[in-house]
This record gives sequence, C-alpha cells and structure tokens, in this order.
Amino acid sequence: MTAPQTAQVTAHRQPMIHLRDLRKTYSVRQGMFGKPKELHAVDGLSLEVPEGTTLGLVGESGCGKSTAMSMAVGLLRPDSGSVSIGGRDLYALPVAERVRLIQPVFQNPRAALNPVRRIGDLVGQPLRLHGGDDIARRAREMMDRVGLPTRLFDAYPGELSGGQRQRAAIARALILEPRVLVCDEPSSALDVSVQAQVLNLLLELKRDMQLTMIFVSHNLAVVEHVSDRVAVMYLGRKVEEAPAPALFKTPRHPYSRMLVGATLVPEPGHPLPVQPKGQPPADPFLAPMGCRFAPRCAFAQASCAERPAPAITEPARSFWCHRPEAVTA
Amino acid sequence: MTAPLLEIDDLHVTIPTDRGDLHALRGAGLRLEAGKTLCLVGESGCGKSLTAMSLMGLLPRKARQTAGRFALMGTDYAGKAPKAWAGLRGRDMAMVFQDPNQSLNPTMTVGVQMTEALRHFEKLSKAQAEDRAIAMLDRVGIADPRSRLGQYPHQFSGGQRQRLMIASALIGRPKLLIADEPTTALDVTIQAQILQVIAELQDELGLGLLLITHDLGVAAAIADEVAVMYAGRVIETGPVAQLFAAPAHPYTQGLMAAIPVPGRTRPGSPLPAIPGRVPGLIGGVTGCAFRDRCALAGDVCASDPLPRHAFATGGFVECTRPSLSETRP
Repeated sequence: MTAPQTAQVTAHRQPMIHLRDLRKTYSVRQGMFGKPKELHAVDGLSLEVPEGTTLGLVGESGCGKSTAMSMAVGLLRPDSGSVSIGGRDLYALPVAERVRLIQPVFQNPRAALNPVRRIGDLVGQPLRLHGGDDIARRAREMMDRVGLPTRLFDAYPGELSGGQRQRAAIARALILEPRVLVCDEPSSALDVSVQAQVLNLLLELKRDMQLTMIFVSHNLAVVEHVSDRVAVMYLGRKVEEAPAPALFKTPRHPYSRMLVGATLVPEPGHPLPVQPKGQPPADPFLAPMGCRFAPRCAFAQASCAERPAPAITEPARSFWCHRPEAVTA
Repeated sequence: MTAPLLEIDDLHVTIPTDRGDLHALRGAGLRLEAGKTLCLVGESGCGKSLTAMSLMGLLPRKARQTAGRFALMGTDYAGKAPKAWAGLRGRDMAMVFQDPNQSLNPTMTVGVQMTEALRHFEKLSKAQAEDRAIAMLDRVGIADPRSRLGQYPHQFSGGQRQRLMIASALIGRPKLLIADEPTTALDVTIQAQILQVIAELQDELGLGLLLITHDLGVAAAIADEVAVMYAGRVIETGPVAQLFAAPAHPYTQGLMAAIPVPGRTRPGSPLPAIPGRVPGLIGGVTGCAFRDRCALAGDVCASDPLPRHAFATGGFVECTRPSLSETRP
C-alpha cells in the first residue's frame, strides 16, 4: 500500500469537495480458470477542489478517472477513504441529500436520457424523485437556462441533436441546484462546433451558479480551457497537480510531460511528437508497487519501482517522482 | 506529368430512406498524388466516411452512386461495372477503420486474418504468407511477432490492435491507404505512436494516404493537403500550411476558431461556436448548405452552382463572397 497523497496544495479556502485517500480494488479473473488477481483501480487518490473552481482530471483510459468520479458522486463505494462536500461526509448522508450536493454529467447523453420519456419529464425527474413542487415550471426555467428551447418540453430525446441532448442532461443535473458538478467527458462525443457551445454553457453556469466542477477529459486542450487546476492520474494514482497553465507549459512529472508532448496542436509545421517505441502498455497487473510509471519512464532507475514516489511540493504544484532532478535536467 | 494516384470528381451518393432520398454526397471531389497525404476533415454527417466507403466499394446495398470521374492511377472506373473497382480492394488500396474491434474477427487467429488477402491475391503458401506477416508486424512495432501470429485479437491491447489493422492493410503493398479516424479511439500517447508508424511506412512504401479525421490537430500534424467537407461537398481544399494560416470558407474559419488551443485561446473565455446545426440532406439542398449558419450569407448564396475560386498556391474554396481572393494567396 502506498502512502496517501496528502501533500498540501494551495487550497487556502476550505475545499468544497474533498476526496481523501480513496481506494478501490477489483478482483479480476483472467480466463475462465485463472486465479483472481487484484486490480488497484484507484489507489489512494486525494483531491481537493475549492468552491467555485474547476479541477481538470486527465489520464489515459484505464487510469481510474471514471472509477474515482463514480465514488465522488456516490454511485460506487470505495474500499476505504472518504468524500466530503461542504464539510459533510457524503456516504453518511441519505441519497435525497446527496443529490443536492453533487451531480454527474456523462459523456454520452443518448445513454443518460431514457428514450421513451419526454425532455420536460427527464429534466424535472430529480425534483419528482427527491421532492419539490412546481416541477413543470422549474423544468421549463432550467431548460431555458441551459439554452434548450422550451418548445422541446414534450419532445423525446431521439428528436434532439447531440448538443441539445447534452444540454438536457446538464439541465437535469442542475435542477436540484447541487454545489458540485462532475463532468465526465461531457463534450467528447460532440462535434467541435457543438463542443464549443457546450463548453461555453458550462463556463457560464459555473460563473453564474458558483458551481464547483470536476472536469474529466482526455482532451488536454479542452481541459486547459475550462480548468483552474489540473490533476494528472496514472494507474490509479495522482502523479501531478498544478494550475492549468503551468501544467501545460511546464509539466514536471515524466508522465505529464509525455501526455502534454503527445498532444497535437492544430498548427501545421510541428513535427510529430516522438514517442518511445516498444514500451509496454499501461497494464495495471504489471504495474510495480513503487512508482507505477517506472516501466514506461525514460528516467527511471531500478529503485523507482520499489518504493512509492515521494511528493515534491512547490508553490502551487505537487508531483510524485523519485528523480525530479534527472527529469528537469 | 503523371496522373494523380486518386482522382474523384462529382461524386454523388443517394440513399433511399422512409422519408425520401438522402443526398449524402452531393458532388464531392478529391485528388491525391502518389506518396502524399490528404486529410479529409469535417463534422459528423458531412460525408467523410461515406466517401471512404464509396472508394472501398462498401456502400450500403441500396445506395445509388454516380461519379464524373472515379480514377485510380489514371484509370477511370466511372460508369464501369462496380466489380472492376472492387478488384482493386485489398491489393491497390486498403482501408483502416476507427474501431479495430469491429474489423478483427474475434474467433480467428491474427495470423489467419492477416494472411488471408495475401494468399488470395498473391497465391503465396502459408509459410511464405506468414513470413510476410511476421515482417509486417515487426515493422509496425509488435514485439515477438512469430509467437503472436497464433494469438486472438483479444490478446492484444487497443493500440496493438490498431497496429495489427495497419499491418494487415499494408501487407499486400497497396498504393493507397484509406484510414478513417484511425486514432480517434486511442489515447494521445498511443495516437502519436500510430501516426508515427503510418508516416514511416508511407515514406518506405511510397503510399498515398487518405486520412479521415475530425481532429484538426491530426490533420495539421500529418497532412500535405487538406479537404474540408460540409453537407456532402468539399467546400475548401489546399496545402496544409496555407489552409490553416488563412482559411477562406466561413465554415472552415468557424471550425478552427471553435477549438481551444493552449497558448492561443484565453482559458475560460467563450469559444466562438458556430450557431445552428447541419442541414438535413433529405430531398437535397440548393445553393450553399452552410448559408443558414453563416454570418456573411446573402441572397446569392441560395442559387446553384456556387462559384469556385481557385488559389494560386493550390486548392479552392466554394463560396460567393467576392473578397475571397484576398484571404489566401
């Protein structure tokens, strides 16, 4: 087990949402007769997000982003660790109170919206389930708020465009006026012109409703655009956290550097980023108990894989690495 | 001057639906020189993938297709029996799709799938074909290729499966590779590796590459020429540097402005989204299909045919704006 990643980051304000040392281990059987193995999907993750700010969460598929976010919204119980929102322990609260604190918006609004229910019903559904009056009026107001024409109140999800469906999902998430919104790849399934509309809407809502957001995406340019701070995950652990501009300009952890370096900018004339060849895939079963990135790291020494990496704390930034001097040199 | 590798002109594809005929391609045209890369960009439903399907002879059975010119290496197949064109598939041209999981047969070993076309076209023995497959797997960066030939697709990771697809497509040494969003389903670090492999093989084999993508970053990184599609037509083309430096069509301009670019877009600022949505193509469209979303549109935009302005540095734009010639040399 690793030491919890509790290095203090510049959260002077009380965090609105605080994930403390979350762990989730799955038992996975490989093959029909294989012995079950432990998969540490989330391995001691801590995150703090101050009120009214957005934390971007990036990392490759399988790094545990979505598992961590399922635990943050209370859809999945961690093996250990806690989630508190506004100082209250999320798991100790009844569902009816939880849903007023934190709500998710998922990548695929087609899957998130019941196709046989009308948009107005879907948007008003949380009020109906968790108590509230004047449901139809409030649903219309919220549709208007997210830029959905109220004439679509009686439409079915199938009649809406992808962007409109995502607006409906956002309206439903916000109708209980939660304090925290968790967006898991909210614009990834959308075309760029529509993606811009949805990102603009989220930025506007965050400002107007003083929302605290966690924004998960594999699109680093989008994350930089919407986030105040960014955390980078690798195989269940946080490897770096920094203000968004600093993370993209001067990533310090070798994995952050690899991610940022591999991002293609829409400007011709840059050579293709050179990636080390023949590197092993990020196989969670092969990950060492020490620094989990060590097998892919150009700077790693044998000892890196043996012990968890120590926290390197700088003003406004933390990262976890055995050999920071070698990386920066 | 030798004939271009691929020359498509005035390609129309109509798909009958319950609600009328869907004019999915409305006179699309492409031109690709041997050994070069043409990126076809545009949003969902613009006809990029359908163009690829038409090239591969994989259109739905009920689709109707006509073309002014449909030529590979100087031989025009327009009006000839589809069978003549289909004979080129797998030999002179090959295709890589977005989702390798849907292209690989899960119940056949990788070796059998890779050598199938080779044994069919080149009448090689099993051993000869396997040697070619091993060399190709090695070339795309799969370690220990001989033992992996006997494995099944699920034993490969996502990035490896896409490498497999590329190896299978190129094993018959085609002149033209059509790749439809080959890296969209992959993480950015893997994307960079795959693009690198494609670029290297392209140099080695003198391969013409038609790459379909919605990601302008990918286009900027590897294209020689870019063609922008909207609602079934190519509305602007040009050399990658000129097209990115001075996009001439209002849609191309809108597309480029709508994506956040680290270091260029101010974080948190509203992105200039393109208002409205793509028109439905059932029953066809007259005039400029973009005019309802275009801030510069006037009455002239409603009539056919639209003027086409050719640029001195190559490429063209299809737009009624008279000041166009000044936007790009």
